[in-house]
Amino acid sequence: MIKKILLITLIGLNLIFLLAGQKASGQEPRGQMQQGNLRRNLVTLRALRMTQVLELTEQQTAMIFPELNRAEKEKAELQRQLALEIRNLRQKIDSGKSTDEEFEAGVQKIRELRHNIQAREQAFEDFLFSRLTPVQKARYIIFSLEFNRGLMERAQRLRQPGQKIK
Amino acid sequence: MIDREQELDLVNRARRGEVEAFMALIRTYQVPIYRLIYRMTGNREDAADLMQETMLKAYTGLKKFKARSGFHTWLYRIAVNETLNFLQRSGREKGKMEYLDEIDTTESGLAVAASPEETLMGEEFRTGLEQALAGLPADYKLAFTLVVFQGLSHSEAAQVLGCSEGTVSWKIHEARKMLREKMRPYLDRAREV
Amino acid sequence: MKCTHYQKLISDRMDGSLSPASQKKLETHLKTCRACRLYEEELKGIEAEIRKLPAVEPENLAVLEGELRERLVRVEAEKRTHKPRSWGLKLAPALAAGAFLVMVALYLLVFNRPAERDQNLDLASLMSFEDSYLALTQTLNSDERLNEVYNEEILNSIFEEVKDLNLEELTYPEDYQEQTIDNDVNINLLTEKSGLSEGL
Repeated sequence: MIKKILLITLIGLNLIFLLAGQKASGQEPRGQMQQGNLRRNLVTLRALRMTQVLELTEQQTAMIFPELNRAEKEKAELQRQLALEIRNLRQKIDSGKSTDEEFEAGVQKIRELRHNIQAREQAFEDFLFSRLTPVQKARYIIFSLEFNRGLMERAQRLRQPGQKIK
Repeated sequence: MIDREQELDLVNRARRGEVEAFMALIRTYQVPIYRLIYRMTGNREDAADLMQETMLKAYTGLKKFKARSGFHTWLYRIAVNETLNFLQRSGREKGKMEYLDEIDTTESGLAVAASPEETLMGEEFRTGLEQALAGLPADYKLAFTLVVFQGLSHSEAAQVLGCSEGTVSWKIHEARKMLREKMRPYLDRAREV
Repeated sequence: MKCTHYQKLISDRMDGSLSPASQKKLETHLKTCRACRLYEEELKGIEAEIRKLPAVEPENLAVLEGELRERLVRVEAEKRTHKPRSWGLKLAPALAAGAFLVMVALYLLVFNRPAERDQNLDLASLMSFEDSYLALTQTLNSDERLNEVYNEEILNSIFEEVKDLNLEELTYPEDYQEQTIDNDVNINLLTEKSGLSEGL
């Protein structure tokens, strides 16, 4: 049953073929999956773990993942724009040639994007919570905290040479 | 039941896009709204669909809600508009008493098994009453349903229907007369017994 | 006054909408008019039966609620996608500023804090995957090698999660293969393609 739910998750994320192909041909998990797809990989890992931690039923998985897909697609685009704007802002500061208006515009754009990302994340969480039992909601909160903390800590350890990452 | 202050708070939160606040806001009114629409359409599926449309319209139009009137009156008004539009579209409302004979009360799930002893005149009377109610012209039925079934005052019903209290009062009076006429055979029989 | 007028007063009284003065008039009339008394009696009898009619309940109210909630969430999502400007402008400036500060704080935290403060990452920010992701990318973008190693670690973790699934044993129709080339979680196979369910 768990296997089946995980498969539904992967199909929901549209990743099953890629994984299957790579496993079947004995390739290392690199190539197309890796290039520029950190976000997708993170989301996949998060979805897989979430499915198991929350012990989602088959029915819940089938209901949640289409919406997760939509939310993820929209947020990914917003994050891409945000990264771009942050880079622009950095360049403006470094160049020292930008006007007040240009700074204002940059800051305003970033604030808007930030809000839109948060709002979309919140909307998905609202949807998710409407499908979960109280225990699952509680688990989700703790799972989120730990998963996100794990992301940051992994980066910290990797930044220090010689440290092995689990 | 939520009080006025809570209601306004929920309205404000829902306006800011909090879906759950809206869900809490309408929770008390869903079933009454469903029953109102059901009375008007005589069909469960239509009632469910129209209830959903009503709530969706209310959500998207929440900024138009003026706190002067109660939220429930406003919601009823949307439901009434949705229902009347639906009846018009589907050509179901002929506004005449002849509609009466077409109503199938068994489909509606209203035929209940109650022994005649425990009611005034029994199941037959009740079936006749359902038919008579269903056969009332739409605007009379609306006023009657809002006041008698939903327990609104004449003044509240007037707000929902966008007319004067006098009109509400008159329509209900007329509806009662029509019902009495339609129920005449049953009333006479009951008196004989 | 004619009886028809009193009959309207009878109706109003049943709804509790009769003024005390009219009520008095009605009572005086009813004492002397048998036809109106009968009329009132019959109306009350009908209304008593109406109250006994079974109340209709929506079938599957919970399902209807779920559907509605889903539609509203979609409405909100569309509002945000299509009208980001108006959203941004309507936003309380304090909230936006707060969000921005959280981002900056996280950024500073990642770059400037001492290593021993790792365990004390801001709880509120860690509640949000998107906040964490943003902070993470700010770290990773500063170092290409780090980005690569990090991504590899994540991939390994994914394979660890699915290693028991025997994915290679599954066969798929040819046309699915194409979709994987440039996919980026944008095709929803659960709703668009159901041919796979047998394979599962």
